[in-house]
Amino acid sequence: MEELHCMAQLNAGNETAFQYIFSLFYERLCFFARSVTQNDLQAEDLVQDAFLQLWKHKEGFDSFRAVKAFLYLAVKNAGRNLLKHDKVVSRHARAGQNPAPEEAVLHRMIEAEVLADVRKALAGLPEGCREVIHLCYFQGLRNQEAASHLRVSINTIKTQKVRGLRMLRLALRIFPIFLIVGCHPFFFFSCF
Amino acid sequence: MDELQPYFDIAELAGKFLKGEITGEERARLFAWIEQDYRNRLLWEKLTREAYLQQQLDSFNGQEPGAAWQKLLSAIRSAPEETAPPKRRRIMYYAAAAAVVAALLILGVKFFAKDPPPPSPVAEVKTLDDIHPGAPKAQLVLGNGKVVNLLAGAKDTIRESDGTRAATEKNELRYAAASDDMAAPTYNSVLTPRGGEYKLVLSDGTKVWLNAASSIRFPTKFNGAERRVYIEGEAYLEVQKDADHPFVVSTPKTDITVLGTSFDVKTYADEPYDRTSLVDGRVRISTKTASAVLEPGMQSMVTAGGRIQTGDADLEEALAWKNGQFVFQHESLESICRKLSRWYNVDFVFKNTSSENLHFTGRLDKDDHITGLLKALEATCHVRFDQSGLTLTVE
Repeated sequence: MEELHCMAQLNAGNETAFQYIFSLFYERLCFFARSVTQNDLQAEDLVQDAFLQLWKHKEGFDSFRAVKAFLYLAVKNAGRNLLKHDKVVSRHARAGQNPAPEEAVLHRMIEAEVLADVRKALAGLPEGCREVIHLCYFQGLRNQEAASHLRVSINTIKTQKVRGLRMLRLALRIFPIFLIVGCHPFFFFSCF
Repeated sequence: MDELQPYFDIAELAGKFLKGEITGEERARLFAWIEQDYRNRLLWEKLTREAYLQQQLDSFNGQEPGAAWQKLLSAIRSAPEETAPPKRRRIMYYAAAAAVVAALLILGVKFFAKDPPPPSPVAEVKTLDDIHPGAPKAQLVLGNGKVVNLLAGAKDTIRESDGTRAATEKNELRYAAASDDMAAPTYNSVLTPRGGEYKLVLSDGTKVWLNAASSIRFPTKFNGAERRVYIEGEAYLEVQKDADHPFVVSTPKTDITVLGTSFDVKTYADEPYDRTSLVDGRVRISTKTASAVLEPGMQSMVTAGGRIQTGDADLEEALAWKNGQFVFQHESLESICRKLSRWYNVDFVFKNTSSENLHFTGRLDKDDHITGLLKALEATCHVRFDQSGLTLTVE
């Protein structure tokens, strides 16, 4: 759907336009929200609420970017409040369990955006590996589920996924490089 | 919402880079951002690793969006804005959420601007004259989420519904001693932006000097077995003696347990170590894996792995910021620039990494204009600063 057209339709309260926007941003927002809440169910609730907020303010947007910023901010802020609230509720909240620093949250947003971009490119791959890509990345099947669905081994699925990613000829480093740069609380998540 | 746009820009450039669609100019912008902060570099290292990308893609779609859309659709159809929705609690919830969103839209995320800002298009041309030294300035976040700006010289009184009382005078926020009839403590936070600093006195009489780009979160009344506060950035504390209630400073990596003492804690996320410098008294530093006791005049450094190194402190250097000075003792240019960027609210970009490791010794007043400081550095060695907007390139 063309952007200007879609925004005009959204302003007018058209549900189809809203659904299109939902389909554009839902998954990346969930990905983002999961890192804010550390809890899948809460994350989905935050995203639901963000879209409800968007619908309430639907007259005020003129670009996808503005919509996107609104949605991310709504999730981010709601996540922050949720964490505060949880701490108050649970008297046994582990000391030192601070919300992730602002910069880390914004970095997660960058990741969500980049992944959404890569995923979109994956969707455009030729037939061969698209089936596996589609099952795994777009229908959310686990490797094992996709393997039994297609009646192939789980290793075939893994290989196909790697091949799909490589077909994009992304500028990636294939072998892990360990960089000891300073000390970052999230650094350990990055080396496995 | 505009403050997110620079991050979207970076994400877009990163995507283009990965797909090989990036132009030379865009590439330069992307790499400038990566070099700007080591956390940016870490993110970049992750995003360009195949194994990482693969793993993240796997976790990208958790839930079937179809079901979520149906849920959303029925929600918007059953709750038209004008008529009252059936469930009262939901209204309150949405109202609260709306208020939060609105508040943040107004406040912007400026509030957390202690993190280095991403490159944003410079609207007006900035010169060196537009770079000012920091000043007393901070934001206070009350238990109810309300934000109070603490500005230089301003007088203000703060009362909260739970009985918390505090007042600002002479660039200091002072909490009244807690009365016994106060309900459960609420937490307040004080945050200084880059180019700001502030002093506060907690309800137990403990004094805290907060350096630029730092924050402290504390209960308005201490009523547990211990007095625990949370600090990020850098602060100097003079802890009120109370042997029955140890004072604990929690940083992202370390717990510092004290009885009555004065010390400096430096725990900026962009510094390689968490450093605690003890002036007097005794403190215990503990991480998940190790612990150590400091005597006066000692300092500890906590590494990424939670290892603790102790040694003699250079207290003059450690406390210089609180005494209105910069003191550099054979300090690397990289570390110096980190300090300057927090105080003058500018960013430094290194053209080549070799100059990061040049070392300087010197003493300067924090109130001085940045020009004199840069000139002094330029005069000493083969280093040159090139200014464009609020970014200084080191050549």
